[in-house]
Amino acid sequence: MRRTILALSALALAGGCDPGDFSSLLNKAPVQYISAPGGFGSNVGRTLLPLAPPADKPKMAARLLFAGTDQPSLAVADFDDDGKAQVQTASSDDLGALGLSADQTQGQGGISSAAWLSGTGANGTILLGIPDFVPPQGKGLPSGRVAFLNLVGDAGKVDFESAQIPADGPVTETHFGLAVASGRVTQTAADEAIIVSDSAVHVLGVTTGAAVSTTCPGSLPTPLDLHRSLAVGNFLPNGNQEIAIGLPVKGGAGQVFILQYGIDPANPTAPAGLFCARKIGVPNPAGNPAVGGFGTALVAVEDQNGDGLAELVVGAPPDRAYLLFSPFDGSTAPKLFTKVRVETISGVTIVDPNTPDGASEFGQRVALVDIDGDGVKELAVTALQADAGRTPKAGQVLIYKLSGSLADGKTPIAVVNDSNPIANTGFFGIGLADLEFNSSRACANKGEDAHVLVVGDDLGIFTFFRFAGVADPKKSIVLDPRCFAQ
Amino acid sequence: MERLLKSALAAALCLVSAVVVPERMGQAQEQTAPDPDLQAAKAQFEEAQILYLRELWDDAAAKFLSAYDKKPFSSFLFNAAVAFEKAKKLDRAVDMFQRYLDKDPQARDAADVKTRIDSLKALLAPPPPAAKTAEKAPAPAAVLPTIETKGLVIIESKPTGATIYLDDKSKGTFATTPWQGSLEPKPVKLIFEAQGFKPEEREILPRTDKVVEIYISLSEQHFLGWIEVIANVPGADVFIDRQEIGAIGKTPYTGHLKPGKHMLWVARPGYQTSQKEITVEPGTATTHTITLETVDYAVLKAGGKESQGAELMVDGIFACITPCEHRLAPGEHRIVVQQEGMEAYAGKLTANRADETTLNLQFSPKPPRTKAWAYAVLSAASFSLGIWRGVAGMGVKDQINKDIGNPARLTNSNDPRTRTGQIDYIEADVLFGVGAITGLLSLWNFLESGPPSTAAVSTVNRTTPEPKNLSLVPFGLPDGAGLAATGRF
Repeated sequence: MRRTILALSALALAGGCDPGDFSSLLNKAPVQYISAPGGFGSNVGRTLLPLAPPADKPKMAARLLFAGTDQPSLAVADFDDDGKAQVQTASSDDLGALGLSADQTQGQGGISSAAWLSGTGANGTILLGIPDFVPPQGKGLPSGRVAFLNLVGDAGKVDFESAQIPADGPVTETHFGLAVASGRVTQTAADEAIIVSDSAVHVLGVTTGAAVSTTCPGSLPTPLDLHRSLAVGNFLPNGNQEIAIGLPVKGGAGQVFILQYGIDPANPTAPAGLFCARKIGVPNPAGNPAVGGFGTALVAVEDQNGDGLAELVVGAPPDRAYLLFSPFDGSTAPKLFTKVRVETISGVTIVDPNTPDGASEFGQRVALVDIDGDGVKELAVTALQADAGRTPKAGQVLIYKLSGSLADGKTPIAVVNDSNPIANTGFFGIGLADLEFNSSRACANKGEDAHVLVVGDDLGIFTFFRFAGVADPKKSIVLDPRCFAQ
Repeated sequence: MERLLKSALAAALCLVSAVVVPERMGQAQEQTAPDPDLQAAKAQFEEAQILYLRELWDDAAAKFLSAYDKKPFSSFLFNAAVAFEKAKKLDRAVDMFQRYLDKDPQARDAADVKTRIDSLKALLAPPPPAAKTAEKAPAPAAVLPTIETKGLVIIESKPTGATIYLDDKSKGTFATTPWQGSLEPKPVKLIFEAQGFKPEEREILPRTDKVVEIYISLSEQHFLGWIEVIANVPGADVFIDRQEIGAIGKTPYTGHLKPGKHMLWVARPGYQTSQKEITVEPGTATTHTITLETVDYAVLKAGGKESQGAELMVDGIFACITPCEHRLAPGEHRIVVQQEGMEAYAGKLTANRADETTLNLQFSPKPPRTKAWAYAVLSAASFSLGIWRGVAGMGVKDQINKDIGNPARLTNSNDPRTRTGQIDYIEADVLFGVGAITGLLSLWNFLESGPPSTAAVSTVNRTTPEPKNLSLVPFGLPDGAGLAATGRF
């Protein structure tokens, strides 16, 4: 008896169970999660901007900027060679440099959009849209703001404080900075800042300071929420980049305008400016009715039909997305992507391939990412209200081939969702991003660079390093660019 | 035949001794003529006693001295001294006590009388000079122990020189005739023996206010043999023919025996019993000298209150169940006494030949093991639950690892199962800790011992029967502690 007691006591004291075992257990989980840092509100994963990894940290394979849309908050996550993120959060002083503060001493507002404007590697200028900017009392009107963040990414610590604040938006507009992008629209040698408000699109010449605004149709329809889709690409055969802007209309028919810089052929006497080169309505290739959500999400796609022009994917919730082929003259029929209805009745899963899942809000966000490493990007579409496992309306992201034998538009090659049914609070897929994981830089054995999908929800950000196949289960998508998996 | 019987009866009558107690016995067959001085002395004595009882101290003292003048018995001087002391004539009392001692220096109360003389002299001595300052407050009178007069017993015999025993011969010789002195006022049996004469016994009741006079004539005894048994050890028990009826006397022993062969034993604790066959010839006197040898072992007596049924172990070997005696070889021994439910007593004992060591054991109960078992059960339960939780945590860990390696599952780094597993592990660790602590407490309680059992150790050596000094030396035991008792004699 005494020996038994002594043996058990020694076992307990010497061995025991180390709870720390679980701390590193999930380092190699195929999905890495970044929870909302301190100072962030509930909208964490909406504004996502992949960046080049810092030059002074060779073990860092990727960098992602993310911001909160409901209150001043900004952070940068550096992903190490295991895919684990190290987050640097902008302090109150950093945010003060952007003209933002939590106590209204300067101004308030979340960062709803971000775009890389200019620079090389990790050093450059980032355009931040603050459409809900509320200036301090007595200091202007709440028309929105855009800030330029000069990111010195090579330093050991991200320098958030080098921001330059341009003039606030025109007093006649609201939500200036609702969407931002960069591109060469006015035939300049440098990228220009493209800034969208509720009613207009502005192109700012960063080096020249010149500014042009859309004249088509004079005023844009009011957005459905604090979101406006924007894409820049060489959509039309004029040698310049055009701006595609989504204009969904609740209860009506949404549209996508292609804005081109130059002299409007319909008004040849007017000076050069942004004019509506195309007004794309809801296509009806198969007798589908018009939907108000058409244009909720946009992403430019590299040439798919061999005409040298970029194509455009348009999200049209609640149940579809389209691949529209430039020059959007109907010569090539759009390609439809839908989430088919799947029901589980008495434990039996029934797939109805002819009925779109209208309750899933499929098409709320779209993005392109090469998840299988074949050099061709796949289309990721958010079904924001899709049921995910046991969690209703948690949201899903479905990934489709744009071309090839698996590109039937109905069968995703992979489906991802929040695998944590407890913590899942919905809005999974409200933010999507294509993050290049630079394995050749971070891994000692010089692995191959790859692209991973970043999905945001309201409380955090997911990085998917692996996918489970759906369209062809025999060919699971197991590309994992992390160093330990090379 | 008839003449022979008459002769025998006449001889028997002649042989009957007579005890002469004037107040009681006038039927003595053989009585000497009354001594007028003795009678006068007796009369004076009895008058003196009456006066004494009336507290006429001076008159009583004078009468006692008158009696002494008639017959110089020392008791009369003693009584006169007591009467003078009562009369506060301390100088006369001292004088009389001193004369008493001069008259009978071997008196049994000689030491007491001398002490009293010293005390009386101290009272008579003048106070020291320093005491004069305290004249205003005289010192309290000294108080002497109460003293009373004594009676007188006069014993004479024919022949003179007979041995007198009181009550029992085993107490040894009291005196030889003629004897006069005082005896305690209670019934006493007098036994008379003289070589060549038949022993006689008489019972008397001595009194303090009377003179008791005893005269006995012993009849010759030619058909018995007289033996004397002496040994190198005085006071040894003497057995004749049968030991089971007890000793008939102590050495030096004298007495008559029927002619023939007899078995003689002389025994004394601490010595080997001596056995000898003797032959008694009628009308002879034989002296037997016995030499007793010291025994070559010691005796250990183990016992005491509430020590019934304990196991006595000597040098690791079972000896006996208490209360019991066990012989020990001379030398040092390790003594352990164990009783169920009690702390063991342990000690060292140095035994010498003829030692008799008594262990009066006082056992101390062992503390109850209830608490120890309760802790043990709690510990076992804690360890069991800890293992259960630990295995559950390991299961979670294994499942997560399995899921991470499963391409069909996309395990999240925020997987809530890690928290479940951590909680399992923490629970396991807490339970292991509780198990370890309660296990140690259990072990502590199992090993805990109560106060050590003790023993009052006393050793006497039967050859020199005075208790010896002992030293007690504590020492450790596997499951307790004890005291070592070591005696060196």
